Amino acid sequence: MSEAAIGPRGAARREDPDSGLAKRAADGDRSAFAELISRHYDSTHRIAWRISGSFHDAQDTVQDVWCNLPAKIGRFRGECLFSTWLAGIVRNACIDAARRRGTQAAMRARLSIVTGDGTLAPADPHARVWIESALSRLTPDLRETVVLVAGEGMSHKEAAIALGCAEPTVSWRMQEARRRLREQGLEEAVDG
Amino acid sequence: MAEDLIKLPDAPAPDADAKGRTAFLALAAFGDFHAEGHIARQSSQEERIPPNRRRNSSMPAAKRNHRTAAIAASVAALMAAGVAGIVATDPGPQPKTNQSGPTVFSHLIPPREPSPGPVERIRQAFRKDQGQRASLPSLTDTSGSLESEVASNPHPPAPPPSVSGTSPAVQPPPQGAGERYDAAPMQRAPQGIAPAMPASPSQTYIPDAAPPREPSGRDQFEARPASGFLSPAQQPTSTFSMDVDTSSYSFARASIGRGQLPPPESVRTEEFVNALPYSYPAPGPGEGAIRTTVTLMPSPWAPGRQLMHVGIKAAEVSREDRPPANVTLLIDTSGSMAGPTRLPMAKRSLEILTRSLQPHDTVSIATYSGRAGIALEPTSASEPGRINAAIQALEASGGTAGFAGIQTAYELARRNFNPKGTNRVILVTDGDFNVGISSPEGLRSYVEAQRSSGIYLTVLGFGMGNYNDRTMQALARSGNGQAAYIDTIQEAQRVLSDQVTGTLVTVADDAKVQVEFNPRAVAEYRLVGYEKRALAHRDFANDKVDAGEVGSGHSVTAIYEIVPAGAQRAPSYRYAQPAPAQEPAGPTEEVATVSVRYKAPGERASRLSETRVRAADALGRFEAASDDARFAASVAAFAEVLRRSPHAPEASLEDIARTAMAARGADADGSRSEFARLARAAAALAPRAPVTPK
Repeated sequence: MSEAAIGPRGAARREDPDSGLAKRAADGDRSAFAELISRHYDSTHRIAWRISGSFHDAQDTVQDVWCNLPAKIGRFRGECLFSTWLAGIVRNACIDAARRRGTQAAMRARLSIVTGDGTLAPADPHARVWIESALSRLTPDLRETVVLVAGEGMSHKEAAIALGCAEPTVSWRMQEARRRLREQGLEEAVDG
Repeated sequence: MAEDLIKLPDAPAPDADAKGRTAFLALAAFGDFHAEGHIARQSSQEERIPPNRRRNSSMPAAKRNHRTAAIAASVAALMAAGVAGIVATDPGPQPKTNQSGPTVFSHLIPPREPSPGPVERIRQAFRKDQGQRASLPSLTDTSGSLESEVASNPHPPAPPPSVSGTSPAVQPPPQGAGERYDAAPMQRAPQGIAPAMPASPSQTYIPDAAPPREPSGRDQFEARPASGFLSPAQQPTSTFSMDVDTSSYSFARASIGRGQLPPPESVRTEEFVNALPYSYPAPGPGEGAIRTTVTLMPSPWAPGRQLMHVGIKAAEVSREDRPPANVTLLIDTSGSMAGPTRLPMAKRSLEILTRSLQPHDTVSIATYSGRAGIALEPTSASEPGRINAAIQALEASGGTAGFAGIQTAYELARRNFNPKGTNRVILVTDGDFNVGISSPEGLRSYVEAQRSSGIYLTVLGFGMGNYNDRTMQALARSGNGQAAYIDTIQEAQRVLSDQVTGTLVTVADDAKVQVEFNPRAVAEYRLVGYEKRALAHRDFANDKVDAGEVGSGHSVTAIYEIVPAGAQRAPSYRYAQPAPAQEPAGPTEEVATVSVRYKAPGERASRLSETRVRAADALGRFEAASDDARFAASVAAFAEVLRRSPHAPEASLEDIARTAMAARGADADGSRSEFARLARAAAALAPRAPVTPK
C-alpha cells in the first residue's frame, strides 16, 4: 500500500500538507490542482475500490469526483485535512454511484460466487480478491468506516468528519466490524 | 489499537490510462469552471424560471423565440469565453509549492510561453472569432495575414475540371473477385505497409518523442491504427461503407476551444472530412440516388504523389416534398445531463428542431432518469407551443435507465408508426447509460432488432466529460442512423435545421464504396481515414452486410493518397526496388474505378453506380482543383496531423490552415472559415510548435 496519501493518525493537529495547494486551486491555479490530482488520485481510487468492490466502477466514480472537484474545492475550509475532506467526497460519490448503477444487484451476483450458488465468474480479476476479503462481509456503513480507519489510517475523529457522523459512531462501528468478522470465523482479520 | 490490524486487501494499482484521462478531463473541467465564472451564474438564473411557469407559459410565440435567440447568443458567448478563460487562468509565475519536482500532470498544463506565444495567438484568433460572431456579415475579413497571402496567390483557383458520372441502372454485382485491371505486366511488389514520409522532427508539429499523456479511455474511443499504403498488385480494391457521422470533428472543435488538443485516438479523419459542407453536384432526375465526382490532383504536401478526391452526393429531397416524419425524442434527463453544455443546450437544440418541422410531422418525447417516462404523447408539429413546453419542462435529476428509456421510445414510435413516412427515434444523451445495460453490444442487438421494423435511430451527443463515444457510435450504426455530437448552437442549427431533411430522410441504405486501382497506373495507394468503416472486399457485393445510411442531400467525401506508377515509392521499398519496372501510365490508361453500391430505402437488391478515372483526367496543379477537393484535402491533412498518423503530411498546421482558407469558396455558413481558424488555433496549441517566422 502506498504511504503517500495515508493521512497520519491524529493528523488534524498537524500541518495539512495540502492546505496551500487546495487554497490556490480554489483560486484558479491550474498547476496546484494538477498537483492535487497527482498526489491523491491513487488514494481516491483505493478508497473507491474498497468501498465498491469493482475496479471499473471505482475508476468511473473517481473520474466523476475529480471532474466535479473544481466547482467544489472552494468549499474546503481547512476544518479538517484535505485528504479527509476528499475521502468524504469519494465516499459520497460511491454511494451515489451504487444507487445509480444498481450495484446492489451486481454485488449480489458477484457474491453468489462466495455463497456457492452461482457459476458466473466476474470478469474483473480484482473482484475475487475483494469478495474473499473482510470487506465483503460487512454492511456498507461498517465497510466504509473500516476502509477509512483501517485502510487509510484515519483517526476516529477524522473518519467521523469524512463520514458525516459522530465520533462515537465510528468507534462503535469499528468494534462492531471486529465482532462480526470474529463471529464469521475470520480470525486472521483481527490480530489479538 | 486493534482496528488498525483488520486486514484489508491491497487495492489494485489504478490503471495508468484511466488516471491520465481523469487528470485530463478534470483539468479541462477546472479550466471550464474558472472560465465560465459569471456567465455560468447568469445562465443559471435563466434556468431558475420555475418549471410550472414555463410549462403553462402564456408568453407569445414571438417573444419566446426571441428569448431562445438571446439564450443561444449567450451560449455562443460562453463557448467563446471558454477559450478566453483558459488564457485568463494561465498561471503566470511558477508556483513555489512544488516540493516534489514537476508534477506528473504538469504536461497537461498549457505551456507558458513568452508572449506573443501560442496562447496569445489563440487569444487573437478567437478574439477575431468572437468579433465575427457579434457581427456576422464580415466573414471575409477574419483571416488577417492569411487573407493577404491568398490574395497574392499567383494561381487563382481555376474552374474545377473533374470526372463525374452516375449510373442509375440496376446492375449485377461485379464479377467474381472484381479484378478489373490486369496486374500481370507488373512486377509483384513486396508485401508491406510503409510509412509515407520520413519523419523530420524540425517540421513536424506534434513530435513522436514524448507525446503528452492523453486519455486513452477504457471505453471512450476506439483507436485504430492509420491505414497504410497498399500496392494495387497485392490489393487492387479498397472498400468502405459510407459514413456521415461527424461527432469526432465536433469533439475536437470543443476540445481546441477549451485550449487543448483532442486526444489523438479521438480523431477520425473521415469524420473530420465529412463534417464540413461541400457542394458536389446532386444526381439529376432519373439518375438514381447517388452521384460521384472524382478529382485527381497532385498532392501539395508530397512531391510526386497524387490525391484522389471522391465526392459522393445523395439526391436531395426538398423540405416540402419530405414525407411526414414520426419523430420520437428520447431525452436523457439523468443527473449527469445537468451541465450547461448538456440538457440546457439540448433543449435549445430541440427547439430548433421543432421549428424546422412541418405541420404533418409528429413529435413525441420519452425521457429516462432513474426510470423511463413519457413527457409528451405523439403531438402534431403544428402545435410547436405544446412541444416546446414539454421540452422546457425537462429537468436533469436522478440516475440513468438507458435501456428502459429506449424501450419506451420505440414503443411510442411504434404506436405512432407512419408506414408512408419516416419513423425515427432521436436519442439525446451524454452517453452515460448505466442502468440496465451491461454492454454496448446488448444495447446494439436490441436496436438492431428494432431497425427491421422500420424505425431508425439518430444519436445526438451533448456534453464533453463523460461522452461515451463508443456506445453512441455502436448504437447509431446498428440503428441504421447517424451520430452527431452537438457542442454549439451553430452545430445544432446545422444538424437539426439546415440539414433536417437529411437527418430525417434516408435516400440510400447500406451504401458502400469500392475503389479499384489499376496496378499499371498506380504503384501504391492509401485511403485516408475510414479505418473504422473498412469492409472486407467480398462484402461489397454482399447485400446482407450492413453498411452506412445516407440521408437526403448528404454528401460523403473520401481522399486517397496515390503514388503513381513511375513515381518514387514509400521508403520501406528501398531494398526491394520494384519501382524501376514501372513506366508512367499513358493518358488513356484508367487509374481507378469508383463504384458505389447502395439500396433504395425499402429495397432488398442493391444498385451500382460506377465512375472511371483516366490518367488524362489528372490535374497538373493542385490549385487547378475545385474548392471542394482542395478544402477536403486540407481537412484530411489536418486530421492526420492531429491523430499523429505515421502518414501525416509533412506540412505545418499553419500551411494547412492557409490551404483551407484559400479553398473555402463561398462558405455560406462560415463553417469553412471556422475550420481554418480551428487549424490555426491547433497550431498554437501543438506541444512543440516551431517558432513562427517573422
